[in-house]
Amino acid sequence: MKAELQGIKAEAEDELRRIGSPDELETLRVKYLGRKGILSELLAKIPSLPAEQRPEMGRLLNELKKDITSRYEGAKTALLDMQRPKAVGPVQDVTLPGRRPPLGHKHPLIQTIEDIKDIFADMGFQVAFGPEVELEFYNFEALNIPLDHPSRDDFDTFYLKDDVLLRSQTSTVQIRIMEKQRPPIRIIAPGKVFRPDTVDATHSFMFHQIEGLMVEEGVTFGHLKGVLALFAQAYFGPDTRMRFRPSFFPFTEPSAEVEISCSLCKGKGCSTCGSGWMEILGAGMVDPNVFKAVGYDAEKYTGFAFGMGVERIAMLKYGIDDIRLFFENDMRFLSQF
Amino acid sequence: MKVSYCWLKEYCDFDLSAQELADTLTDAGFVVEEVNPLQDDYCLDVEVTSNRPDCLGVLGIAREVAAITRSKLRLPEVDYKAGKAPVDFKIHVEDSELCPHYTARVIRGVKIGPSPSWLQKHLEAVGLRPINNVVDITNFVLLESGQPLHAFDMDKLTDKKIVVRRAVKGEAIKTIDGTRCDLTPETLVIADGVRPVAIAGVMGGVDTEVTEATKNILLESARFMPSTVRRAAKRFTLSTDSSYRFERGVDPEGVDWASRRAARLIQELAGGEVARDVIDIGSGKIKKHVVTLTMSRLNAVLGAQIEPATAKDILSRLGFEVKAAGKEGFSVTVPGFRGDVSREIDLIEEVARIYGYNNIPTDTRLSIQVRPRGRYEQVEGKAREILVGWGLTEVITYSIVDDTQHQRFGAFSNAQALTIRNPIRKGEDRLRQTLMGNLLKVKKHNQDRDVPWVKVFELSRIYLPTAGPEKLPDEKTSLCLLWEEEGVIPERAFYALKGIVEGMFSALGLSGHQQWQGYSGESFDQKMSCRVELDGKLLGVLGELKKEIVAEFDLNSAPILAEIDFDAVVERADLTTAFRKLPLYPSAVRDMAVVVDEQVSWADIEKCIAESGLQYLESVEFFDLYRGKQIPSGKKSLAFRLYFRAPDRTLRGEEANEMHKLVEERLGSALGAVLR
Repeated sequence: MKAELQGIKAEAEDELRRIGSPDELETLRVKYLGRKGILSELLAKIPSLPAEQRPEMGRLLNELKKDITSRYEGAKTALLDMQRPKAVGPVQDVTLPGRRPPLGHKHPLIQTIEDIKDIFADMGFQVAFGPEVELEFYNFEALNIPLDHPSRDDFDTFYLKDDVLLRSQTSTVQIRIMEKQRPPIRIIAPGKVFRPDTVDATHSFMFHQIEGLMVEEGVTFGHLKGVLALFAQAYFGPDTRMRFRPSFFPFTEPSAEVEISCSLCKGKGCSTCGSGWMEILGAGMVDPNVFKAVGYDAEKYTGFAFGMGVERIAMLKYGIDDIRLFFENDMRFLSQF
Repeated sequence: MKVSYCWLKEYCDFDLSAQELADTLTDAGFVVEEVNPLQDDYCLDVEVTSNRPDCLGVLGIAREVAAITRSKLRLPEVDYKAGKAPVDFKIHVEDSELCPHYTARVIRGVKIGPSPSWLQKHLEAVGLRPINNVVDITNFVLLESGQPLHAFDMDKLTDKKIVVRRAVKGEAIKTIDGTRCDLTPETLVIADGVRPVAIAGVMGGVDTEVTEATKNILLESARFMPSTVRRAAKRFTLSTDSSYRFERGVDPEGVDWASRRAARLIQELAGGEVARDVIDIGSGKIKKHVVTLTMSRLNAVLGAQIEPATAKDILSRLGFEVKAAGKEGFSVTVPGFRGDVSREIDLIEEVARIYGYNNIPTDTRLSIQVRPRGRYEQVEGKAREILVGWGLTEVITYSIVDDTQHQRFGAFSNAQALTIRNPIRKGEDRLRQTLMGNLLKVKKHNQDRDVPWVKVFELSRIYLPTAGPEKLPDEKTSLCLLWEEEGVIPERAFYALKGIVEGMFSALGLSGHQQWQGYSGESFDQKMSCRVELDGKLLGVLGELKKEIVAEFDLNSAPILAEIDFDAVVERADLTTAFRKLPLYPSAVRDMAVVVDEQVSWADIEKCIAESGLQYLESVEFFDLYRGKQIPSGKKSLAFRLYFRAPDRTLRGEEANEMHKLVEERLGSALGAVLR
């Protein structure tokens, strides 16, 4: 009989939980608590029990009745609440804006450098740095750009003293690293460079470059193409096509200018790119004279180097039309990145 | 270089439209910037890189086109009919190092007049103004062959002689463009018996130029040392068609060829008799470079499988003499006009260039190499993430600054700033020694555009002069921060930025003892500025600007600035993480508020508590500073929380109370602190 009571209890609780209307509630009340309800029937059975069980069962039955009654009352109140018209009090407006913690922004040039760096890091390239104020030797002679040579015309330079200057290219880092390290070398060197150009929408006397250098036994021009193609597809998108055209840099031979298909028009030609192709970097196989300057055996090792302008790449990537925006530091510009 | 499409066709039959020709040249490394249509011709603007002076003549370009399109190259006629008259003219080359080869031809009885229309049209097509037949011919041959020529009016040359020598100090020349140039021995000149008549390789003098009245001509064709011509052209800012070519080096074998070509044309178009003798001093002969090319090397550098026959064919078409040498190599003789080729790698480039870079297979099979990120990169990256996460925006400003204020901020150097000799704007010639001035300008720039409350940082180099023998300055990476916030309590911003700096130090695991103390930098408000030292060495400064500086920069609020020696941060950062076991027993926490004299600092209190040697004191946490009602003037109330914890059991309340009492007594006796 004890087990029977527990069953009734569970069943009643369950049914009360699922009440949806006052009629259902009333039906339940009659079923359990009515004059001919389940509990009354059980109560009526008590006298027929053995005498020693009667007090115990009476107590249990009473408890059960109390329990079901109280649940019944609860269900009744809930039903009434549901039917009453809603009270108009303070209502939480969830459409109000949340309180955002302030978040700063990385400079777009730094983001560009980091993105490029990460791609090359995946290919085993390590970041290297060199001084911005540099000896003339590292900026020119060691890079196979002799004094009084027209090839210097492409590298107008700020001078501090006769042989001290602001580097006009990050290729200086190639020499600095190769002087200290033996192959295999895979480095990527981001940094500031300076050229005495009058500032306008496409020129700046200070800008950023990323230099890459890989020197190992058996490195080929084909590897140069491979590494750059992997980079271009990772950075500009998997459909990016690339083409190489001969060029001249004193520190590489063969030298190449590298173009990618325009990411805006997919190579069809638009107002940004003109021909459908955009020049993004210069590259080539390290010139044996450069190896000679750092004491590498040019017969044993080959290598390639490349250099790209960070501003140019950021401008292409984000569609920025004025290089000066990078250095004005207008918060309305910086907060877009 | 400007190239006429029709002119080019005179030397080479190619079946390309002007645009196709432009694309072909571009693909071979001669970028065509523009194709301009003319009346019945096109003018191509071709970019010739500084290693290819041979292509500074139409013939050179024609040679390339012929090689690429496999068509035949036609060289023009250079034979002329020499007269009987001898040459009564002396030429003396004093400096044969600067002028290794000098030739002169004498042509008597010419008739100066306008050039025929075909010649005028050729010159006009590439933007040159026709002058008279003789001058036009020298220009024509220069543009055709790349070899500059000069025609003198022979009768105006004193003493019937030419001397190639260095100028003497005090000499001057008026060049044909009307410029007066004062000469020094640094400059090589062509002189007659008494005076300079031309700056060698750059420009002739006005006194001896060919005019309508000229009858007899001395035709100069020579080779000058590139660096001499370059220096002269720079010195007198006279970059001419002639100097441009000499600077890059002319073909030693082309000197006499061009002279003959011009003599023939003069005879044909201006009449006159070319003298029997030619004055030829020095030599047009050079030792020809013979370079060995091995196919294995070629394919090893390029990562390609080019056939020997293909390589041979390409080089032959470009004018190289190719003979088989050894098993799979070639012995290649370099023609005089290819002064840029002297090594095997130069030949490899030639083959690759014409073979087509885009035909070399792309190879992505690289060995795997994994290298840990460098320490600097790691620390910098983390610092940047932290600062951006806390709401600061990164800026990049110019390294070159003006000389107005910035020097006064420098925490790391008071020395005279390094200067640039050739600035682009006068006054903007200093290398910065601090980033602070630049950040104030960023604040001002934004203020002027109604962008309020700037919170920025820059992580860049500053350039500190060194006293030692090093030629290069000490390039320090500086972290500079500028913080301002709405509200009237300046301390708020001060402690906000200080908290950011301290928090960053702690996140970067900075090792060593940090000590913050008062700072009286020239530009800082003394009441609210401080410096921080790391084990006794200056790590940075932080504080509010003086009112005068705020006014000087025309700022509408006084921001808090900080500048940190980031190299020191990198050096002392520790990004390794060591796990510590979590405590097994709860801590007992007791708050305390004490009233102390204004002079007593929080650091004094911290130190005093630390020195009290309480075994179970885990940490002390400041939480409030109060001045005002109930606190006597000249005093302040500091409130803080003490955490006690034993590693092996739960502390009893009485124990914590005892320690709390001890701290109170200790602060009372050492610092005169009274419990509030």
